[in-house]
Amino acid sequence: MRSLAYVDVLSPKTLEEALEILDENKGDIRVLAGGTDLILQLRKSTSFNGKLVNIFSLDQLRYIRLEGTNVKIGALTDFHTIAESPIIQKHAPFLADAARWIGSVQILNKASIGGNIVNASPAADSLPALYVLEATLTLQSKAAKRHLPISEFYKGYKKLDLRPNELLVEISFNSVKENQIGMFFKHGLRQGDAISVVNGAVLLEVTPGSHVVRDARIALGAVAPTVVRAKEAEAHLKGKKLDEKTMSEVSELVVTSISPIDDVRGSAVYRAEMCKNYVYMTLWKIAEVLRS
Amino acid sequence: MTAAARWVGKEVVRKDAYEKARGLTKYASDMFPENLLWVATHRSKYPHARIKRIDVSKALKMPGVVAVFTHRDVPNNRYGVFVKDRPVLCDDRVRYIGDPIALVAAETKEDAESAVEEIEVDYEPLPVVTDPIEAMKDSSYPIHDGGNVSRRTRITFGDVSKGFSQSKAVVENEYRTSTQIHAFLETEAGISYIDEKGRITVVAGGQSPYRDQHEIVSTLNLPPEKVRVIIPQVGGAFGGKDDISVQIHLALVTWKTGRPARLVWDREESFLSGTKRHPSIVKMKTGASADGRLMANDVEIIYDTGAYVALGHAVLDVAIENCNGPYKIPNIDIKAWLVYTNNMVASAFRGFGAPQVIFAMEQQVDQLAKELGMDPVEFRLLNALRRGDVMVFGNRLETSVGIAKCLEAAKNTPLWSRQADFKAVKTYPWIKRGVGVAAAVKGYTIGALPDRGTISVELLLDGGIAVKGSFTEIGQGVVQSVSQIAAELFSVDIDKVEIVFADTDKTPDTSVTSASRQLFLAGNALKEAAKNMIKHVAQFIEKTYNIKVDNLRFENGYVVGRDFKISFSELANAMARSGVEREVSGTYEVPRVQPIPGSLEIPHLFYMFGVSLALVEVNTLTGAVSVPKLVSIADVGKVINPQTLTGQLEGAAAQGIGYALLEDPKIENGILKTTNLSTYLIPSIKDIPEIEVIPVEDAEESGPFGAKGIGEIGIISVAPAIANAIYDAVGVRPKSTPMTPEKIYWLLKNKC
Repeated sequence: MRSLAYVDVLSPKTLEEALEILDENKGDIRVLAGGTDLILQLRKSTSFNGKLVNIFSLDQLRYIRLEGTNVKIGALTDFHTIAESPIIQKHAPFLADAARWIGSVQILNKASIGGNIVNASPAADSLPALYVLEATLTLQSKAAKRHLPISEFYKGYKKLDLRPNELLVEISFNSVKENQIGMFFKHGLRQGDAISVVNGAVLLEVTPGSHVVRDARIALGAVAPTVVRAKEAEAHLKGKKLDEKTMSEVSELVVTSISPIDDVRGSAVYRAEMCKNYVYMTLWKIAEVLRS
Repeated sequence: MTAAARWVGKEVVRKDAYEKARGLTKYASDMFPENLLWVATHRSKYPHARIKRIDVSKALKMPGVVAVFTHRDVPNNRYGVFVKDRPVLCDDRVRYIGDPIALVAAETKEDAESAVEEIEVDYEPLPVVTDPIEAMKDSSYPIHDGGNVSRRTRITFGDVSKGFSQSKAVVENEYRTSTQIHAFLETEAGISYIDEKGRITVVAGGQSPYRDQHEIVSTLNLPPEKVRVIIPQVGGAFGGKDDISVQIHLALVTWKTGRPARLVWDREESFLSGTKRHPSIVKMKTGASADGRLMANDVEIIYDTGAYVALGHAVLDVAIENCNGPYKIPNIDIKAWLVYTNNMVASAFRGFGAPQVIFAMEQQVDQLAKELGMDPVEFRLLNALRRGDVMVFGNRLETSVGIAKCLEAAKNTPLWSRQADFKAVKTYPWIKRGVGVAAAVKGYTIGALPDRGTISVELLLDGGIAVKGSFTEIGQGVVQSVSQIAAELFSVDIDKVEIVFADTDKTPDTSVTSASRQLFLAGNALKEAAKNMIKHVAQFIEKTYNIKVDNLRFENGYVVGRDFKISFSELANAMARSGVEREVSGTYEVPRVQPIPGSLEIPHLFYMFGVSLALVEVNTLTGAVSVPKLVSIADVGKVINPQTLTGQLEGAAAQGIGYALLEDPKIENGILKTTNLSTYLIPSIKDIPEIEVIPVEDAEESGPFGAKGIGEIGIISVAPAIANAIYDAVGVRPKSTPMTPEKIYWLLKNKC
């Protein structure tokens, strides 16, 4: 463990100042938000010799707004706020659920959604929900602003389409519709405060009355270098009802989209099994909600 | 006296509760003496290697470094309670990953940590021995002179082959249990300084100030009067602070530099270098007759002590003593081995060798009951030890035996008597519920080894009393229990009782705070001290006032005789004026028992008993097991403080759930992969269910107010109760801990 006592930390007062600092330091600087992952990584890192820009006090990046049917979340918004937000609970309830399961109360209070996205752990709990919401990320630099679908942000394991002078400032998505139903799932090795062995989110659009699936989105975490969409499983669901046969077939199909690995939390084969079984259990629970 | 008890058995709020809740308590890790040196440890990078060269020259030149110490600075570089096999700082060899090689003392924490990286050690890697069964072979590379079997023994009574021939049901299985890490909130930590009398003083988390002092003076070759050990409030120990950790290193730094020092292990160091619960392999063949009587138990026990013995020899004895459960069995044959490997170091952990073998035996018992078509609780009751019985080792049980009462309590608990209702609760189709039971036995006090403790009591001028003993407050609440016993014995308000604990300068030797012995020992010694105080006061009064005194007693802050009444404060002041000693002591010695051949400390004279009931939910699609309800029943003799007792049993149950389901240290070729709390999972609050605590009071006449030990019994039967409940729910038996989701999942998958 190395000491961080001698690391230079720059603390801008405004977003503009922060973007200025990023622009000047051209990649020799890491962004410190909640710090719940970064500090631990730096303590173990032998290569980091740069500075930190501490954006934690930039309250202008803390907000949750509903603009028409568009939900906008400031990148510094912490997970406790997201879990408790009436807007999120109403317009993306499974994201609120995912936020609640990210970690302990201390983590929820400190960790930000932007940090979770940029840290790019394949097991990050907010990502599957954002994938099925097909969220848009806003990346801002001193000179420009651009928007990117979340799935295009990740280019590989911890590889991001993020320029050295850019900061993730906002996450936005369309609120779920009346005939959409979504659920988050997470398999940790204990009941609370665990890193996911697998996680995921399912968002279905059904025909009112008949409950035939019109559109399906399934995102899976911790089973590939990035979060993945289970495209074959999604396609198989379209036009079908959630009966036992369909749910079994769909859950078997998710393995075509994943490439899990062995680590201290579980073997690759177990991860694949959990992915299938959690998709099955989640579809079962969705079917139950539709029935009632 | 018990009938009119004012303090004993009452829910009196712990004196330390408010200051702990407000964060005011100073633990060793909160102490920063002025002008201190920060100490950091250079540790082995290999699980097994010869040291060819240690070069500290670069480290010495680093900024802020005051001194660097190696084995050359340690006069007697081996220590250990049973076997002196452990170096203070490694000299010729390292035997586990994390073995300490050098210490840096520097002006700042950062300076010390940076300089540690500059120490150069040339290693010649040696074969790494990780499998205890391989280690037992003559061909395995010896970790110590004399080979890798540190201790082997065999104990037989009766004739097991005859026992099996009389059995209708015989079950034979191999069980394995994994390492468990104590994971206390406060890691191993301490400070040191030269006190006002010129003594090297070590203030560190521990469980026995006098033994820590002994290890310091014997390794550093110092006179005992030059070393003082104080153990302040400790942030958890569970046996993990029964051995030396930072103490000798701190004393060395202060001895050599004359300056105060501070050494606090970080979590990773604690996980690597702290002692752990012994991983085990237990083979058991157990037979029962057609009418349900246990006839024979043939057992092989292999405990992996890792790189050093630590307290392993005694742990192995406890395994042998407890592997038959709380039952009468006429024929036993137990073979046991304590084996060296390069898997870090195992030693004491709550239960001290009992949880591993009870995990095996209590599953054996469940399988026998099932084969014979008997109810698991009735089967246990039929075989349960009772007072006056001859135990498996030929020893007659003349003290309290509360196991039958515990089992009766279990039988009458709704979770058992109405278990069908609990199991019928429907959630999802893939969730199955089951209920399991397991019983436990464990000796308290240190068995056939010599065991004594002394307490002294001083009459204070303000009318209060000071009770002094070397017991340590490791969170368990012994200070509170001793306060309540003292208030009762001396008939004073509890606010008038001051406790002075764990300081070799100020407190007499009450010996180790382990083996669930301290309440029993300190309480009994306090009883003796109270008797001696009566005599002492009587003499003083007779001499000073020239009156004949008899029937002297303590009453509401007064000493009362037939014709007089004098307040404690008046008495203390009179004594002070006359220059009479106001402090007396009392000593309790556990009656000696002869150890049986082949053992060190078997049998005990005193035993505690317990039963756990667990309700589990198994997710058949993930293998995850949760415990919605757990009942912990313990025979405690007499409850001294119900709140503290509940705390002990709930804490033990939580730690038992962790052991059963979660705590999974991954050790690859001697290297621990799970070095933090995000990969080594202990239970979170969400993993801990409603725990119902049922104390059973089977009074022990030899105990203070009838009390027995309590610290360990609650953990021992948790894992087998959960294992039996899993079998009840889904029909698979993991036979190894931890029973992780992945393990259960594949068992289920392979079953169908």
